[in-house]
Amino acid sequence: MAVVSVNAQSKTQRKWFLFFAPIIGIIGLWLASGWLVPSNLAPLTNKLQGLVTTFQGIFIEALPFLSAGVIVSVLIGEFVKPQHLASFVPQNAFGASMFGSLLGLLFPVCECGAIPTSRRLLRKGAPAPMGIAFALAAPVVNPIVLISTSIAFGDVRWALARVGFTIVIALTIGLIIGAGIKRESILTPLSLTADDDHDHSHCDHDHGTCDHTHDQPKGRLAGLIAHGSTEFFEMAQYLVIGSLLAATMQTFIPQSALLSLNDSSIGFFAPLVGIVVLMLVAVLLSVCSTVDAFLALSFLGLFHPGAVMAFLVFGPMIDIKSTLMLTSTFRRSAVVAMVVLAALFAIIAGLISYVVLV
Amino acid sequence: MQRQVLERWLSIAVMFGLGAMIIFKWQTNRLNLYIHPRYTSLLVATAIVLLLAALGMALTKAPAIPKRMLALLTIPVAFALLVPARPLGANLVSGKALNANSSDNLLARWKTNLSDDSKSWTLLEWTTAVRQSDLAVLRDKQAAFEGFVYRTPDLPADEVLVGRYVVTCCTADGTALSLRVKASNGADFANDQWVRVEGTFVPVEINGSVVPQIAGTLVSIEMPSSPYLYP
Repeated sequence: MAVVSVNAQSKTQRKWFLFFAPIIGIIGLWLASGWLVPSNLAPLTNKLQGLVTTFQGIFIEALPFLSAGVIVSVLIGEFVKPQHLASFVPQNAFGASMFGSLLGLLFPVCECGAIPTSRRLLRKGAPAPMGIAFALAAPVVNPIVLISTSIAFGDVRWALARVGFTIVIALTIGLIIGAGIKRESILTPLSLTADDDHDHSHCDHDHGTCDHTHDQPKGRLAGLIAHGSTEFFEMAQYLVIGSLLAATMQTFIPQSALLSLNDSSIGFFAPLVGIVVLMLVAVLLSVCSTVDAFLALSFLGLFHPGAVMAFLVFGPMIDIKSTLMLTSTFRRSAVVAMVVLAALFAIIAGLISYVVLV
Repeated sequence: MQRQVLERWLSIAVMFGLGAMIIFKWQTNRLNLYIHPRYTSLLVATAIVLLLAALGMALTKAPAIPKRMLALLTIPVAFALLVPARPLGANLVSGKALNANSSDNLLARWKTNLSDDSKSWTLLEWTTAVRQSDLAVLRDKQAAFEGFVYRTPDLPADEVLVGRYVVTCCTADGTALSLRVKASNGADFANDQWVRVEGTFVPVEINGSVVPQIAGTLVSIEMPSSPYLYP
């Protein structure tokens, strides 16, 4: 009975949200457009236009990498058979997790691409530790990021340390969350759907129903397009929400407020404060892992190297948009555990770097 | 059946809209309001992929996309259609201004070598020079740089701040730099108007501390084709 009432309540909330979200959206859009806006609201129009510019910056920049990830995922979907996967993926948890954290070397994708790819691999029957480790590690453990980090820092050791920490962390989290647990308790229903037959991933899985039927696309290319476009929209929706949140926060919370936290810290906890501040900056900025090395470089000197390392390790694993995307593949409780563990291990990696690199 | 057909074509329209948005922004030279120019070709390639995907969806009877996803993906397209494209400007300076206490090292990372000819310095180079050297050494150096006008409430009428953003990857990481300019025609310029500063570097003493300032005139200009500076 209690369950029913909770459900009813969340359903009403959902209804209200669905009613108000478009209204707020339309008012916001009108204010931002500056069309017939009263002059006393002009400062708000200015702010909102800045918000839009920041949003488009994050969204547009991530789009190529998201598309690449979807293409990789769709190609895996088409050409990798579950039995292939079973034949070369180690079935024990450690081997699978290790394999997952290194697999990015073959699939150069950032966080927007890693998550659809991870889900596809899970649907092909990949062990859960492998899926988790891949989703977390692939944004860093791949040739593009290795090269861009080396170039940005002019020092291959930074790139190697970044990749090394990421592999260890992803491997460990893959084992902690994924080993010895039922797939059903950490994966969303959709990630559990075997990817053999025609799939209904385009149906809104949150509602659990598919309220329309359609002609099944004919031919291989048609199938690729159908699956690709569906997956693109599914992942891109999280990119939109994430970019909106990040842009809103950036517009209304001054970056300098965060950075000045670092300035004010003194004494024993100083290294820790720097690390935590840069990790928050990473979450807030939500910049793609393939380009964040150039950004991280600009923090070096402002922060100690340990904090910059924490930024480089944590940012690609967890930020606003990737956390939302993770919920498409993993159950909420598993995502929370991934965020907490990744934060914890990134702090440790930062402290180790602080001691070694200073 | 009618509704399905409509939803299917809406899906195609949104996919097409995303690709067309990028192509349009590229063609009208607005892509660099959002991202570092080194990603331009990557984005054009992506736009072509999206347009081809839209074409493919139209030709192959690809299924409709769920409404919630469509609604969300309409947001960037709606922004592109309805909200005037503007670079980061005076509106966000308060949020993105360089923090005075921590800027030295940041600048040191961005740019280190300055040419002798101070008239060729951009605002980034000026900021570096001001932070690196003794202000007395810079006195009377010629300045000629571009930026947008903005103000803080404490400025006298004939003084403005001329600012510009430094962008490393995309607008999400933009950081605002600025220099104080005293110009007889300073009051004529509205916030966000792009100007060229012509004058000399004359530090002034305000409330007991020496503040870097340019004394000269402002000339109204069009927004530069790349509004941001790239370190």
